[in-house]
Amino acid sequence: MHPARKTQWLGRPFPRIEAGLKVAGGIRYLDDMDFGPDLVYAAIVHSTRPHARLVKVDPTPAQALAGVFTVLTGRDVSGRLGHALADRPLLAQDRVRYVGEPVAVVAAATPELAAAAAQRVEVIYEDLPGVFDGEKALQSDAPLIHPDMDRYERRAFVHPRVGTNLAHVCHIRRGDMEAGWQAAATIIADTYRVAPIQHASMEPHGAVAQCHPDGTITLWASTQAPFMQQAIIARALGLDPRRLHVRAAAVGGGFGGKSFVSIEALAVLLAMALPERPVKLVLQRVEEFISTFVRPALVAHVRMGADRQGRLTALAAHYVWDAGASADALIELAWAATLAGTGPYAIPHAELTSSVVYTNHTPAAPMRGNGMAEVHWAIEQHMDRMAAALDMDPMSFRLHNLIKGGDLIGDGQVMHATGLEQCLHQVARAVRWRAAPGKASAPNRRRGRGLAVMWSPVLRNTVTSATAVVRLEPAPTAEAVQPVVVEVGSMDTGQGFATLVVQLVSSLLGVPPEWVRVQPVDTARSPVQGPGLSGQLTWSQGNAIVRAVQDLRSRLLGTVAQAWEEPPGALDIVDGVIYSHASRRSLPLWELVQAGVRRADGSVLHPDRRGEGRFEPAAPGESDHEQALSVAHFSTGAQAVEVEVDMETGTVDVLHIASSFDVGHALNPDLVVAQIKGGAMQALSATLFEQMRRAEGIPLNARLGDYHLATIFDLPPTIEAMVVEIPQGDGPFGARGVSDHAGVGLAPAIANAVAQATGVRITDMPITPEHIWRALQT
Amino acid sequence: MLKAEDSSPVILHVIDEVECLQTFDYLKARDLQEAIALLQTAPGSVRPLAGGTDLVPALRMGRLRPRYVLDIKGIASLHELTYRPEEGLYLGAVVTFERLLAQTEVRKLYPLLAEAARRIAAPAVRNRATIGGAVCVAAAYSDWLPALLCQDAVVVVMGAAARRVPLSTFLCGDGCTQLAADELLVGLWLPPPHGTAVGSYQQLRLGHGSRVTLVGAAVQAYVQNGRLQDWRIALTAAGPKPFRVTEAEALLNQESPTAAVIAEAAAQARAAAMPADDFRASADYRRAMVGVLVRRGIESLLAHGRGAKP
Amino acid sequence: MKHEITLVVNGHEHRLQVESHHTLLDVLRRQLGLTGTKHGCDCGECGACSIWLNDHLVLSCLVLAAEADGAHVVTVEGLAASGEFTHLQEAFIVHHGMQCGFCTAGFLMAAAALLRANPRPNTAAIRAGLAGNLCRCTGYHGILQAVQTASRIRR
Repeated sequence: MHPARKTQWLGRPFPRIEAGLKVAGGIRYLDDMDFGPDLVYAAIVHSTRPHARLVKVDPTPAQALAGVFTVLTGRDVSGRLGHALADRPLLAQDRVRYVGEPVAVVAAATPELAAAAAQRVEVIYEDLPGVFDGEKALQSDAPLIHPDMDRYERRAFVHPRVGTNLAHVCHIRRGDMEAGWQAAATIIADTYRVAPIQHASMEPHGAVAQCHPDGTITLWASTQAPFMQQAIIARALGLDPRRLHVRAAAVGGGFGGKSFVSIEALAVLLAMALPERPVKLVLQRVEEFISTFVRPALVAHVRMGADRQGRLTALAAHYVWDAGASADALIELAWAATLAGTGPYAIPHAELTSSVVYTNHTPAAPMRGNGMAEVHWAIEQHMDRMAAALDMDPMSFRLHNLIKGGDLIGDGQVMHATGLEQCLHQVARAVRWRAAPGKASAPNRRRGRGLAVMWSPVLRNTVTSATAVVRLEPAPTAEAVQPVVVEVGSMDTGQGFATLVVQLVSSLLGVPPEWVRVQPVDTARSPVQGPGLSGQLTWSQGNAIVRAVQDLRSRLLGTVAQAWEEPPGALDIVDGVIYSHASRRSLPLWELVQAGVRRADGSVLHPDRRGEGRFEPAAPGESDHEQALSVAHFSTGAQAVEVEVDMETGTVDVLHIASSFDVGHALNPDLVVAQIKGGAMQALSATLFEQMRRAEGIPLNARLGDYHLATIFDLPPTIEAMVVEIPQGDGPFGARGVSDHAGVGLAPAIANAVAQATGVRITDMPITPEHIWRALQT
Repeated sequence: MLKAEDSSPVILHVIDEVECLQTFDYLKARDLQEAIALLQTAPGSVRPLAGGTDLVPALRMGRLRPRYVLDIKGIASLHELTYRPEEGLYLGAVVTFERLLAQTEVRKLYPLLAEAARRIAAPAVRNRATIGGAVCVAAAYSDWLPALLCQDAVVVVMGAAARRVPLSTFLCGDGCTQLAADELLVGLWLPPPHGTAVGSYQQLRLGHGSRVTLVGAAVQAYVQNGRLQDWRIALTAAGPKPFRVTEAEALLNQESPTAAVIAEAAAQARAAAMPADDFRASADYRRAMVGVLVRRGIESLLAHGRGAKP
Repeated sequence: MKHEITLVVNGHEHRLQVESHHTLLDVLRRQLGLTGTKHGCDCGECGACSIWLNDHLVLSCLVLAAEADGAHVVTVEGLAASGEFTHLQEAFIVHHGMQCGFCTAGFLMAAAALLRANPRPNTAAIRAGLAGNLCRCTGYHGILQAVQTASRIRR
């Protein structure tokens, strides 16, 4: 096969396949889909108290409203949701644990009626003492949020401490900590905090569910994880999962907030109470704030030691994650934080702990980086402080300690080759790190630069494996077009995954990209797949797709080779035509599919038209925790920024962002750049503007007007995205993912830049003007 | 034991955000008499609708539940926008901010108004939000009100009779005005400028394009005899309602604006401020920023004024 | 209270029956099936519902349907069909001005409104014209480049 043709559509600009529809308003998201005249509308009754006994939930006043079909409360349904730890009731039972928790659901003829009916459900609460801080929740006198925790179903890798608010703790150690501290000339310890933030996808959560006469239930949802939803909801409801078909709608942003079950189970509950009628539940923005997942708050205690030569000798970190009222969605995140919690450095002695703690807040789930953004906020600021104490330049200090292939990581694994050092050099060069600080634009302003490196583990667990199917459908007309249908279990939520699939399949199979159709995910038909978390799409699914195409090619070419009595190696597919280098014979694919291939004796052979591929990450090395949660590989990168700070008001203007990631191989460079820049801006927004404010568990800023998301005005004048390509050995054409961690290093880079500009270090995210002002006063 | 209705107002406010069935009737007034007649007949049951940028969300979220929503955009006189050198500027209540910005005369003669109008970052909102609506909403952190206060704006109200009220009196607190339930705000009158006006609006907010001002200071003066005279300074988000800092103005009108005088003016502004302590910002910070913003506003005008010809 | 209203939407006249509390956004999506315009926040804070009302860019979630009686409305579907802004749409595609696509309709309406009023905007004017639209995926860079490119194309 000609190598150039093999990668014809890879590594080069390639527009999104659905772009034409998106610029014409033609993509139908969940709330745009037509479910016919029988559609029924749902609304949620949310808890108004953060921690309270449910004395009474009376649906009668709501049921009395004309046009209301049903009202369900905790008395009608028990069962808990969870994939690793089933700790979230479908509907509140004896108590509520956060403002926003679903207490009842209503189905009615119009959305307005449903909302009005929800208001009429009478709920009486008896307040219980609440817990609103992760560390306070760990104290021995803290009220227990889940006193029955020991009765919750859980996976073997979940380690709760029954009788406390500690839902899960994980811990690793390597080397000899005592020896590590002894060897250190400089030891610094401090605490860093990250406030909880919204995923804030522009499309709110939504789901439609319908029960059919044959006993199956279809759930259409704006989701990143249809198979996960199928498994979790079926288990909570005591259903055979095969009865529940989850179909992913087009998704208007997820970022991790749509990777678990949020409100979707409620649509299913109502559908089961109203057989055959489709029930739609779409959240309003205020509901997004109070009752969908948030990115967790973190308190990070970090202690580092380094010797006189500037080599890190020991690191101890305790990450306390505020899970809110449900810890299920943070279990893998806690493992990632523990395994990768040192940051990308070679440290011989390390001890890392992650505690996932219950509080009376909205439940938390990972957002873009699986906890790495929060971890690096702490680590990368601490590194700058160590550098200052050692009188070393922050970049030199990092270079001195940067992880390299062969170094020990986690609890005994070995790091693979990585382009991290190149990434760091690239971003440093981009912001002219070695040059003197730029002149500020006014006398009361100061400029500063900061940098940060990062790594993000792709966890090897049972859902990291992937399957793909590529098949040729019979063409509807003799139009010389051969539809190539791709079935995978993951879908595009905006990163461009569907486009990547088309690039891969058309390049590898040798067909025009317009022929390739990526099927929407339907658990009834698509191959099983885990949620679109870090590395799932490009790396894991990408590999499966490559293998599926190879399988299909060998079947097609094998049959034709047999018919033509030639070696299969002499055959190729180019632009949809099977071509023999040996005999110069050719046969269009669509003809092969329609009519088969003729042998010399006149008989006809028909090929298999379906190829399947499966990817399983290679078995890990030794480790003392459950094998399923070890690290498959690390993605690495660096970010550098230049800021200008108003020394009187504390406002920060970001002038320049430079990001560089080792992506293995950029299969679609434009999509990679788009992910990097988008991720950087999302991180900028979180670093400077975003914070969910609560007072004793009561949300204070549950509206966009008071929760500032970056606007186009906040885009820095210069924003650069660069890539380094150290191939991923087991990646498709050497590719690794980038979407999930594209902003991870930005927050500490900004904090480090602010520190250089102002002389003050802000250890709490977000860095608000008032924070800086206050620090400058002292 | 707590019933839902006994919950703290904050919670109810948040939860009531969830949409509920609205049973108001939409009516459209054909002329001013019709509008006034309805207000007089059913005071307290009528909410006038201008741009809808505040009212419509409030209706949909159930924060307001009037019986009637009265669209006043069909009343011709409320669209009036007239400047006469002897009389000043008259703005009808439903003049939009975008329309205001498009008037060259306004930009030239009342530069601070144009500055304030630009602070509505979203063009789509400027196309609908009205100068009268913003007065009636009377947000304590409004960017529009301090600019108006600096012009000694007068509110024109129609009810059983017409009356004119200085804006400073008309405002009585956060979200509160003197407008009676049977009255309609029909326009604003701004006296003619006393010379070439120069103005500066200093605003502190989270990021650029944030909709909530943390602190704001409007500073204006007139170029007279080659000097800046007749200083006006108004603050927003520095008290229950936007207000003029008369002590600081008097100082600048009496003394030459040396660095010491400017610092003193800023100190007086700080002393006059009674900023809120809330989740957006602390009172300490706001008060300190009042001083910074007022000083910067004054300095900005002086830098501009030095270039101005008498 | 019910109202009979007439709307000309994307050049087609429609006679509709609406309730007092229906917004223009509700009516466009539910009664006319024009789902290109989106519900992002319901209180005028995200820009996803942007349309043209009598040639002005407005947020359709803030307009009661009854207020719009007799108005001309253009939605993203009409923008696409008009052919007048194909260069803008193509620029969005080329510069990756969209990822999940949910905010795209709002941005196109805002960008087209800007270019109509100001065919050669500088970067500051482009930012000002798009300041009312939120995007969570792209970080705005591709969007800015798309509008810059579109403004340089002579039609």
